[in-house]
Amino acid sequence: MNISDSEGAGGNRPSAPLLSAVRADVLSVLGLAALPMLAGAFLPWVLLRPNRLAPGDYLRLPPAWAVLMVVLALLPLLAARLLPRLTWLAAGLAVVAVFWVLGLQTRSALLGQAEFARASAAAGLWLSGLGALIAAYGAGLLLPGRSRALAWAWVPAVLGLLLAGHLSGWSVLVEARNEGPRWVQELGQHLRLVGTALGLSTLIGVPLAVWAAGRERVAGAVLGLANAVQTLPSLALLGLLIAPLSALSTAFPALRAAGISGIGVAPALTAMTLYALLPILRNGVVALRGVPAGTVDAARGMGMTGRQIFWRVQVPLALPVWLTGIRQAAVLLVGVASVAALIGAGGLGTYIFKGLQSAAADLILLGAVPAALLAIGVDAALRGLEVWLGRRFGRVG
Amino acid sequence: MTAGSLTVARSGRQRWPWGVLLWPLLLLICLIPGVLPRLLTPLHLGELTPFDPPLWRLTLTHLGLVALSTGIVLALGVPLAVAVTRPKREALRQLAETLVGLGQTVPTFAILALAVPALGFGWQPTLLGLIVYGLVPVVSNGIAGLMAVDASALDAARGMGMTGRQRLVRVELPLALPVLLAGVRTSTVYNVGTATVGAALGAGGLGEPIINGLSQQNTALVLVGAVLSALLALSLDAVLSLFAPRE
Amino acid sequence: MIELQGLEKRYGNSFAVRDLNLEFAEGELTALLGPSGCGKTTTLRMINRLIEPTGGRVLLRGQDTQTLKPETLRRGIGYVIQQIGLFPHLNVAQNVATVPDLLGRPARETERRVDELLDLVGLSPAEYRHKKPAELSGGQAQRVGVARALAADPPVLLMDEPFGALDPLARDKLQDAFRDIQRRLKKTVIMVTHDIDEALRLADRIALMNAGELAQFGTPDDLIHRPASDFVRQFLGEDAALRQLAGRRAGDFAHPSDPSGLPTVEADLNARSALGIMLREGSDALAVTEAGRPIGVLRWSDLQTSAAQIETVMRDKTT
Repeated sequence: MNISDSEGAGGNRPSAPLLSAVRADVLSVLGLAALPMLAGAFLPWVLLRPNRLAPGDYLRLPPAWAVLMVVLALLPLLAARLLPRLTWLAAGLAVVAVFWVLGLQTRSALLGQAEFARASAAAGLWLSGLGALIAAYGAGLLLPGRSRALAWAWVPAVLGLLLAGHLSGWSVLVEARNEGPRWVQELGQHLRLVGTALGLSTLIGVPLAVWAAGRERVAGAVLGLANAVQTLPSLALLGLLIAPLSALSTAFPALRAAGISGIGVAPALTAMTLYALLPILRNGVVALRGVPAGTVDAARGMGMTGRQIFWRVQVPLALPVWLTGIRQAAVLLVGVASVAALIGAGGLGTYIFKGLQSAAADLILLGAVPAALLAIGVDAALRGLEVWLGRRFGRVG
Repeated sequence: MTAGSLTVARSGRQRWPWGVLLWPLLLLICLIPGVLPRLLTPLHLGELTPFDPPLWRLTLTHLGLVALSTGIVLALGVPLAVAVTRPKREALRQLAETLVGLGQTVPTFAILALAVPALGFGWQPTLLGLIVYGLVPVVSNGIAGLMAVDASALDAARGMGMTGRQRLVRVELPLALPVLLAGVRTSTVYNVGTATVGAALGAGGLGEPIINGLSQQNTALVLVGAVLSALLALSLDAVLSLFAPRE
Repeated sequence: MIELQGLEKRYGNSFAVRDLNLEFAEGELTALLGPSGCGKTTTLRMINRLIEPTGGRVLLRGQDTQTLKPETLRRGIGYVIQQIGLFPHLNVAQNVATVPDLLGRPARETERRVDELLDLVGLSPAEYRHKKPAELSGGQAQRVGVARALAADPPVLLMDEPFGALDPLARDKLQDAFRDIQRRLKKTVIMVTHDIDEALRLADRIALMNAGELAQFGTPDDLIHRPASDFVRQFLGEDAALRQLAGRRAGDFAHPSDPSGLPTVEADLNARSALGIMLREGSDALAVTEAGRPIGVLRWSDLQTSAAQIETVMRDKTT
């Protein structure tokens, strides 16, 4: 269709969306967000147990607080209708309120209880939190590009609540306090595992990719292998990689003394490095081979040497895709590292397994939530780096 | 996947791809009682006591979990992808894409573990995790496939008097189908791997020997689970390749 | 056949189409001509309600189209677009059969109809029936597009820059083919175009639009020789008469006479090229042949008649 024909229509052009056109579908997102919040207001928020393993009682919100949550559920919708500029404030307020109420409710539940009593979050809180976060996301869509950061205004507020100790009654934080320095240590171990494996696989993978990209057959083999290994379960791969190591250490006790065995940090790192190698290798080969032949030809025609072509043309053009591979590897590693606890490599997975073994949900959360946040954070940070580098080399995204 | 262009070309369309049978056949051979232990014993990696439940039982449990989750994922994911790609649902689509991106990022094990407090131990949290994780490729490929449908074909369909439902059924879904099926293939194959992690939550399946082996430092046991689950993944991938091209 | 009454489309405060009154006669090809952004596509899409008007009415055989279900309305109107929009997952025959299928026509009848139509648009059914759109050239694809639009034998055909995306050679051939088809089928055709040559060549009438309003409605001769405004004159350009010659056959101007010793041209050659040959050969007459047999002589003065008409009109206007 001839879009230019409907001049002044604007509605057909995605580059200049009419505010009124967007608002209708954002309203549906805000409506969707209100549903779990409304349900959450009437479901139990706190599970109070005499100790961390015993069964307990589910506590609902007092009526006044439930009414407040209902109001907060509807506030973003109302704001979008009446004061669209302030929707972010309404949604942010809802997120902060969920945490604030959680703090109040857990602390009041623990009043007069014995020392080992635990107040955990229950379905009502999770649903309300989910709804509030979706509302904040929807509110972000209403903000014009520059001020989109306002949709994240709740983050410092929640961090503030956390640091001020307002949430200290929440069972997950109680566990965290009990674990204290050990938790920090495991987090550090997790980061170390991921960082070391990523560093090693980058050091090996980058030259290997450059070497393979220039050779038709090798490149084909690398990509075929990478695709095949991707179908393999990571846990199975971890197991498969550990088998030869442990066979070696059984055969040569000297190696065992040097720390090479089927258990501990060394096999975990070996397995993780090999695992991360594949996306780095694959994307490197694809990226280097994806550099348009015409561009390389033009560079050659201008009199660049092979080395100059590589550094000035191929590397900058291949970098974005390559970095995507490194990002994928990093995100994978955060996940694999949490399973590595199983072979005694430590990391946040330690808490997940401990929690699973003792059926302690709070311990699971203590491991799984930071691991999830870590993966999201690593992903976002590397994405940012990609965009920044892409801009530097004249490409966006 | 862009890599596909470089891999060796698959056999011609007319010929029945016998290669597809290789992996299922290997899997079946390994499931014959006594075959795997006999193969592994010479490696001196650890004791292999007779399995209880037997290996074929574990494999069936595993396959059952994957099949059930894939069925539910299809029933949820396709309508979801269709719903968010209708006109004037830009924001809902963005929300779905963001959630799918998060699902891709958050570690599988974390997703599975987080389901335990809600559903307790057993196959239920694993199934939930498999559904959540399996939705990712199906929804994202479904959205990508539906969004890639040529706007002019849709305009022509509308101009010829097709209703919204007819456009969806006759034009959009058939055109999006290859990409969607590729997503189903990815989802199913990845879920074979995810289901092994489910053994840590008491779901049974082929993860059980792996987890037991890792915690007892019995590498032979690990290898049994790893080989079987790898063969299962490769078998499903091969079988599904008959219906769905790789991304 | 189709009547637009005070048709209007506004977006916010701006009008894409404003108070448009037009009548498209049965069996005629009307070109909606104008610069981009003039509202011609919007007008076309309001006829089959792909765009809903904000004011005015569209009457189809005297019936207000708003009283029909949009889908029903569209199934009775052929629709051809610049981007062709064939369904890539269906073969040529299935593409052509789409509307008959939607209308629930029996499969056997449709199959016969598809072959008939492929023949009509100059594609051998045996060769093309089972091809996928991806295997067709642009020109072939749009031939299928035209066949698809004609499949249910609609009395009305809407065409949005149907030949705009083709290369010049394919466009010429398809325009010729379509002119022949139109001579045989006598559909009521409304064709959006920004190409003046195409309009002069194919259209019985031209509705020239500017900024959402009608600038002039008339035959090509009317627009060239009796432009209603400076805009019309400027839009058609100084060489409008030449352009019009391009749309005529040399044979149409020929008079019986002695062709001996003159340069020879085919009767099917367009008159503008014939003029070019006169200039090149330094001759003020050409022998015109049809299928190898001489049919007459084309003189410089024969071509001038239309130019002379312009001059008289201009003189009349200034005095």
